[in-house]
Amino acid sequence: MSERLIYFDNNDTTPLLDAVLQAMLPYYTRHYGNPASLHQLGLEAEEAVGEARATLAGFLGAKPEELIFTAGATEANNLALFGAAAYAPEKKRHLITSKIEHNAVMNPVKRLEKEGFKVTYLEVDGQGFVSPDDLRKAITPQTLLVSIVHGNHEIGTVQDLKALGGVCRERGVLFHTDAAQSLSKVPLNVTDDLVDLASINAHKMHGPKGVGALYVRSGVKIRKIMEGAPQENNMRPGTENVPAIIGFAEAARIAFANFEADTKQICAVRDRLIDQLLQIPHTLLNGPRDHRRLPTNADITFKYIEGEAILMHLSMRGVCVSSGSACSSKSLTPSNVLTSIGLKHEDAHGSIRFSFSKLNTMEEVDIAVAKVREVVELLRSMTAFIPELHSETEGHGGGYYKKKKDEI
Amino acid sequence: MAIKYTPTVIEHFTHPQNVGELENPDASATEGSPACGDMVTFTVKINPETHVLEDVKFRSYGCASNIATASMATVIAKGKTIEEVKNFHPKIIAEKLGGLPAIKMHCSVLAVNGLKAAIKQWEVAHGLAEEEEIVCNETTIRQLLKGVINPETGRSIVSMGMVSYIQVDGGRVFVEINMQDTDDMYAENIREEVEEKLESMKCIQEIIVRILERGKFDMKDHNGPNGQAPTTAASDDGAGGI
Amino acid sequence: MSAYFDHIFASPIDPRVVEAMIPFLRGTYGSPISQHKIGREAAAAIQDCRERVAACINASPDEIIFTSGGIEANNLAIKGLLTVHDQGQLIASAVEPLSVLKPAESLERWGYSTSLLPVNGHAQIDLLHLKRRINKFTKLASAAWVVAEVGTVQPIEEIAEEVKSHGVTFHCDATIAARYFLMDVRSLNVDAMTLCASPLAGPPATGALYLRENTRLQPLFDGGPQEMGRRSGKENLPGIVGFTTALELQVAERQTRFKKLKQLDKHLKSRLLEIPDLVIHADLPSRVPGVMSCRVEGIESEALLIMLDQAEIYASAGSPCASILRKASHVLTAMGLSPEQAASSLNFSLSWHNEITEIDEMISVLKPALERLKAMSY
Repeated sequence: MSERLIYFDNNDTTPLLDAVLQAMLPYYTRHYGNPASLHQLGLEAEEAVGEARATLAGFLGAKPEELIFTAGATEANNLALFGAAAYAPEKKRHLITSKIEHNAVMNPVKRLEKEGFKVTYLEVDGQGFVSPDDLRKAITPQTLLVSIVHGNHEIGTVQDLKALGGVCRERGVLFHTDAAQSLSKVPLNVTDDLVDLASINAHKMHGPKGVGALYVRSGVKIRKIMEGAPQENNMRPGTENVPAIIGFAEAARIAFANFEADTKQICAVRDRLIDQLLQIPHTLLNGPRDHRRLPTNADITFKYIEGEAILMHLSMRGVCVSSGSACSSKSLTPSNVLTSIGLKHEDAHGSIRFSFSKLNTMEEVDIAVAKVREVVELLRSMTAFIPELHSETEGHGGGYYKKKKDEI
Repeated sequence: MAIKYTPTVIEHFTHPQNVGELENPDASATEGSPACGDMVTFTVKINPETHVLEDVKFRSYGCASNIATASMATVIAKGKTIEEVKNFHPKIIAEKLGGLPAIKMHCSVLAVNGLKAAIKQWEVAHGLAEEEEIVCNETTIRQLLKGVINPETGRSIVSMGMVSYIQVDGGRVFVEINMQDTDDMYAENIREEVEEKLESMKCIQEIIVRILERGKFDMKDHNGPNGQAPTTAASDDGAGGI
Repeated sequence: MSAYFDHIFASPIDPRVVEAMIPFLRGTYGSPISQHKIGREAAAAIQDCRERVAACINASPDEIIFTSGGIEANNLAIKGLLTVHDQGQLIASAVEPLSVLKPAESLERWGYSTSLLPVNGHAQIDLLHLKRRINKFTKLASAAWVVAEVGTVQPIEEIAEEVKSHGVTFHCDATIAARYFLMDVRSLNVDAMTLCASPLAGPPATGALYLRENTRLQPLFDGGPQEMGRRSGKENLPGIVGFTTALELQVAERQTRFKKLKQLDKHLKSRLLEIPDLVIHADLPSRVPGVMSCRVEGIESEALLIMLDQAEIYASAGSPCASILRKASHVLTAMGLSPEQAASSLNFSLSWHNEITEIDEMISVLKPALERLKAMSY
């Protein structure tokens, strides 16, 4: 019985739309000019890139010259953080970020911390929201930059960007947001939302891999992190990936053309899945339940069983998802997002992220739910984690009563 | 990179053997905990005359490797004497499974320790062994830490020389781990595993773990928190290490 | 009839490369790191590419780091290999690509320095100079195997021998060399090597850095664990597949391509030399065929290029980057050309797809254009 694969891992990456591929192909075949070259073919390529830039800037609420194309959102985040830090005056070496950032923000911040920056990691509430008041209290005269993700990749929390941006603007502090998950899924306007720097990419909205962009508000100074050629207004060297940039713009065009309808449909699919799965006993929804959640995201904890095992069983049954468990992470630690919203480690280990695109259907949800029930029942029948026998504890093992200190 | 599991691991994951629990077991033991996402409970039936492990079942909470190693452990152990099982090495399970990725080697340690703990329980109950009063000292702690696996290499942190300093002061234990060339992203996991192992020792009341990140450690310049010279990191003495 | 002679900086992608990429654009979209079926497919595909690229250069798969092109690879190599030391010096010739020299320059404020080796009039590095300049502060040396614009070949094995004898890390930019020579990183004895897809008729914005096992490197980007933590960011699988295919085709067709380029180069040279006052730069016997820089005294090349462009003949002057920056090519300047001479330079980079007839067409447009410009000048 050959079943169609059900792909519920769209917060990780999405399939390229055929229409986007068709827009890209001519730039792999007929049009091969280097936008930096002065001849006709180069000028054509330059024009195409310029058009794409204008399109994307428009959707962001930015000016074309405020966009720097990069090889992806990770590079854009690095450029924003290291780029701003490189111009930090002596007295402004404090950064603020949240505890629920993706490692493409967290790791550059940690590197800056090692290099001598002081960092405040803001707490979030049980649903992942950063409080603008907490942010206000954390800002000092030494604060250079604040970086808070717009739409969280794990639990879908969508921050009130305008409120956070407002606090930063009020205090003269730079505000960066990782908008890779949120662009084209929820409203985002960098001008209205008072954002100074924003990272975006294409492959989360059915665009190609290998391309992203950093929005830098006019007047904001950041230093480039790569050198050797003057592309992107001397901010990012290297021949532009023309086909991918064209694909990026096309994907955005398509996404924004159907924004209302697509969002509604994706929400319906998501909500159906959530409603059905929460009917299984001993389940929790992680993250907000209201409109302040990414339409594409559902994250559910299945208590007393473990995520990687659930994930693999589902994969064998044709359903692709991901998990926040320690065992399914590269570093063997549970998702920092889940532990930061107060989940006990064991609940983080039992978490599964289901994430959708407009290509998913209600029918797929129903099929997937049936398989999830099957798998949950199977794993619970053999679980060693029997709640009456194993007290659900904070921290590790049963030794939480022992004093533990971190040596610096 | 996605974990590459061998067909044997996949087989034991999808069709695990000896799942469940024995009614009226002769002994049972649990290794691991819900908080660390890895837990196995073994129930065993041991013949009092022959000392043969006549039956064994397991319940598990954990990833595919956890389930597969526990399943394979029961298959290998069934029908062996408890002496044979006490000599089990996690490598045997990994080998029989066709190999385990380094990052999952700790699951095989969990399975072996679980079986051994169940047997120990039976022995103590039958007067064949004594409940050990574990003394807190550097040697016993180092022995305990042999069970902590470096996820990057699949080897114990002790045999890799990563335990650079241990100091015991009454009920207070200070352990220093040198990450050497291991990626810093594993630091948190290694810290948690070390703390968990130390928590199991009844004689310890206070735990301090210091992690030295990659490239920062130079043996000759290092001193302990009270200014003493370090003990040299002992290399694995071969018994029971990985 | 149009003719394109700017292949090093942008070249039509070989249709076989596009064909190889399409399945990865259409399907196989997962992330290699995901545990599910689609992720595993992607993981298998990228591992396959890694093995194939490694096989092309006699490296092992884990020694390959995929990047978004040659410029990123050079930045990663220079910054990454220098900053693992608390301080240190880079030794590089004055004709190295800007993507090697500029990153080193940007590190000067952190206490790193660059020792620039002069070159002779043919852009060649003097081994004796190199020997004398290496000191205890030198931590990294970088030399491009083939110099851009002029096509000079550096004695990489001898340079590597000298550099390695001092225990210094050696990086080689093989962006252009990959079009001509067999890459064997073991026999070259390099610690790091930059490869780029476009000069090989591969897709834009993809490349790789070979990094010898156990060589410490500070990554450029922090973030996810891709490329074993050395280069974070979702892998561009279609690009990587394209790069791999292009490299393999190059290895398979190297000799045929070389022969054709030699033929075209000979013809281009003989026809160019018909023009009075035309000088070909660095025209050693060892210059790689198909990369040629020349000048016509007293003629400003930008005007010339525009005229050629109008006739659909595409070439370049200096590097495209230099053109944008309106600066004389640093390569030509290092070779001793005056600013005026550099401003008269005309560069051709040929592909094995060019034809003799295109060269003749170009000459038939070039000659009258030169006449007109000469008539207009003083």
